[in-house]
Amino acid sequence: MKLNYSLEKEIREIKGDETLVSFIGVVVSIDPSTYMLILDDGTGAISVSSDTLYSLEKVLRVIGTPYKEGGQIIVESEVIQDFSDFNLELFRKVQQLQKEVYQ
Amino acid sequence: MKKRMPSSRLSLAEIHKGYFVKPEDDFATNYVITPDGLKVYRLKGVATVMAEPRLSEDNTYGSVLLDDGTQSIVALVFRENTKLLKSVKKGDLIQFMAKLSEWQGKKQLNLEALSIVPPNMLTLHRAESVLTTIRQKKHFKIAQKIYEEEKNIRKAMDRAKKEGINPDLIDAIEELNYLLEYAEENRIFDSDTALELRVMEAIEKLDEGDGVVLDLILYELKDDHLADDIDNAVRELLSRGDLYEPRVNYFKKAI
Repeated sequence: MKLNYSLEKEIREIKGDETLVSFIGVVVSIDPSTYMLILDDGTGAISVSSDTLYSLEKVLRVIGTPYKEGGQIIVESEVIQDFSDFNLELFRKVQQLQKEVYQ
Repeated sequence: MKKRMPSSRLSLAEIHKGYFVKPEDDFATNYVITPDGLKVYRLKGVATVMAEPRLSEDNTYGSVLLDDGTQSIVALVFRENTKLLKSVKKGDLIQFMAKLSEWQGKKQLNLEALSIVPPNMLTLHRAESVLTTIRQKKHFKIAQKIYEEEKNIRKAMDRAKKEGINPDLIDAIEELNYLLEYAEENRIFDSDTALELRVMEAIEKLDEGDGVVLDLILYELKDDHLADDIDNAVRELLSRGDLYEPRVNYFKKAI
């Protein structure tokens, strides 16, 4: 069996045909009737299905499966982690370093 | 008394790229040797628990799937260590320490310790892993130069020591050469990764500009691999973004 793992992407890079992606973003909108959140990471915004209604402006890390519906990409969340107090700027710098070293 | 081998902080992707070695001496610790010659006896990592941990009915063993954003791996616990899994649940970010093992050609972890950690530990772990890799690559390059110039292992090890390079790296180069040769002869290396590499090579060779139709890739590799395995490798490369599909059933390298 081939194991899947989450590909770290910026929201603008998510195409909708990936098996599993992960990204970190801020909750900018909540729909209590459908349990849909909209997360924004500064590069784009994306809809995320969730079991929990997180509060606005909460920083979350989402691992999930994206799919396309009506021209829109939605991420079916597998795991949502509360990343409040996370130093995103430093993380991005380390990610950049990783790209340089591993590619 | 058996020497306790230290842990190395590394990403799961680097572990999957390496070769699992089970020493002939039963009392020696198993390890993974990375393509840069680092022998990892114990792995320290930070990863997300991707599914609820599973424990056997008699609580003698259990397993959990971990994902660190570079790869995923199954981690196992046995006997008294099963209690480790009782403290975690799906979605937790954990730091772990584990020995390495292999089952049916797939690398696995045998968990020895774990704890739930705050999100910033992910950054710290990544930074330290990158640092380990940078150092290792630098030393490996120097060791390779010494190895090639000296030809004789003993002399190469002595010179490495004088130049401040761990002489074990010379030994690691010898071991890697043997493993590579052995792997090519017996195809013991990670079959998924190897097949993906062959698919990429085939596409590069066959692509005349518009991508390569799947049937042609299957034909190219038919002597060595099953069609289903090739198809799976193509889908995996596609999902990772290494390939794209410019038109239905045609595949091109993304870079």
